[in-house]
Amino acid sequence: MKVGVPNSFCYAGMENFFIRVIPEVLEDSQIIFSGKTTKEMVEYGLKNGCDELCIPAKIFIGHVEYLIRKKNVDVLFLPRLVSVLPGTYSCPKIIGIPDIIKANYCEAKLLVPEINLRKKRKIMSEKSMKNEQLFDFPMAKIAKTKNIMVLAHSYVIFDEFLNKGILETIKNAGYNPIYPAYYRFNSFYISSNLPKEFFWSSARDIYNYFEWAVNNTQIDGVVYLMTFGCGIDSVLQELIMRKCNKVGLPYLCITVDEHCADVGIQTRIEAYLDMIEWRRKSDEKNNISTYG
Amino acid sequence: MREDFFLGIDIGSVSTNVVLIDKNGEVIESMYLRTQGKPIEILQKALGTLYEKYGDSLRIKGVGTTGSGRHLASLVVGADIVKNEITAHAKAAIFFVPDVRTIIEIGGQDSKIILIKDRIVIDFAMNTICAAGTGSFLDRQAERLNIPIEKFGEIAIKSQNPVRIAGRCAVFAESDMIHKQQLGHPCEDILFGLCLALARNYLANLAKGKRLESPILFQGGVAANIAMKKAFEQLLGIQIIVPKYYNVMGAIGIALLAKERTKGLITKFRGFENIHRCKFETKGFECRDCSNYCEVVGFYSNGNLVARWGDKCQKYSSNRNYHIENSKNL
Repeated sequence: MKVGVPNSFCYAGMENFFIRVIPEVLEDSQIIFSGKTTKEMVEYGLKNGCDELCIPAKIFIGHVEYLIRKKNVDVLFLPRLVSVLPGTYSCPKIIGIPDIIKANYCEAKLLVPEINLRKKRKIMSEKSMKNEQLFDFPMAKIAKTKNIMVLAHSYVIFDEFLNKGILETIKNAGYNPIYPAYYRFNSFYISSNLPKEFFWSSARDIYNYFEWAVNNTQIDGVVYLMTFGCGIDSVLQELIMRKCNKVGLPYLCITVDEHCADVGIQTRIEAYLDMIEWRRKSDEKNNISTYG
Repeated sequence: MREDFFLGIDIGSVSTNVVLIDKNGEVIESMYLRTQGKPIEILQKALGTLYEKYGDSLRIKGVGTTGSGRHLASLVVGADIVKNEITAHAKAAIFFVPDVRTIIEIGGQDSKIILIKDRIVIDFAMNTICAAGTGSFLDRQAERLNIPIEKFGEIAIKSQNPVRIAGRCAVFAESDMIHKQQLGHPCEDILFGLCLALARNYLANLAKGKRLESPILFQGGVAANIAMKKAFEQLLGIQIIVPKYYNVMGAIGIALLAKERTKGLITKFRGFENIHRCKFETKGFECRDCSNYCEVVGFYSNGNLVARWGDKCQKYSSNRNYHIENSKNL
């Protein structure tokens, strides 16, 4: 049986988990991942997604359509990620994505087990959840100097279509991009100084990483990659911008949307890096910080 | 007398600007031309005019390109430096007004705000996808009302009682304007109302959360509109300076950057005659090798392929900055 797994949006980074779990649940199964986002998938997604969805969710629909149309999968494996971190919830769009797919593709067979760690309750195979992580992203290597923090959801950071090659651009300019990765941060989890912790797991991941990195690493600037139509980003972005202004870190917010021309984004990021370079040179000359 | 000159080229969505500065940064020649969708031709023509006027007495020591067409222009002329327009604008503004704190720049397609402290850019913002409040929108409205864009400011500034227009969205602003016009409001009141709406939109979108300190410089093509200047002054309650070369500031900035970059180096400039003689062409095709369907563009000079870009896998361009790095080998 061909089991299709769209590995974008909330399921990005869960490949190893799926490889472990699916053979336990379904015998004689062959797992087919949708792979990297291509323009074809984007087009499918834009055609079928409703206007309320954020761009990663639209692209996710494209991944699903690609699996159904081009790979002829028998069943789609879409666990409902109600909560992936104790005490939090996933974004409502993530919780509801299996239903959206069901409504869009009535004839497709879906397998929708529930993963809910909110109260450490999980309705899935006990064996494979034991001591094992859901997400598996490579952590960013932190350099001694010239780090630039790129903040975004992991499914944006690890998707070349969504991040528009910003990490490459930063690398080419001689800076080291560092970024949060879902759930990996828990090993050195620290609670933030916020009066109330974030409700959503992804927001908590991103914010805690931000606070940790500001206090413990040398960073030259913060870039927030916001996806158009994301409710979590709209709150988090504002919070991080204010914090950056307070501590005098150069801050840039880039909104990624459907347009495929990345020229505008390149211009902004180039200008931003120029600004940081300009500041650094002047700091070296004067020995007086011009930040803030 | 043969002197050292530096060339700055700014290819924007609406205008192509070329300036010539001497080694002290003095502007010798400035040209403001409409791009009209043909950046290469217009650039060739502009350089031709310069050459006719000065001939061999022009010794170009450095060239820089900026604007949204900067990579294309750098291939045509052989640029020493290719930089984004934000840095270029800031450079020129600081050169003319060293203690400048804020730059309001409104061009054809983009609007920007740049904050400066101690001659260093500390923050900037650019409009997002929306083009409400940029030059092209003013252009269109002037055209609709049958007013030459050059006269827009002159007429609008006479207004005593500007009407209220929603500047949030270009489409809504237009329907608001039509409504006011059908109610019988005079033209100048509608025009100045539009200027106020655009200024409000700019301040709400770009300047949100930022403190605008004076001196404030207003540059870019839209700064020609005296009514826009008045609108900003009215909303901010501060005097705004429009510099002498407001419409070519980007080109001046990049010329100054080229001057810095080429200190002690030999320029990559290809020479006026070479540029004039060459026939430049671009050809595009959609690659169907994978499902990305990249739109690949090839740049040809005299029929020879010089550079290609646009492919995600870099099969054709092989190096992300191929076309920039190889522009010197033309």
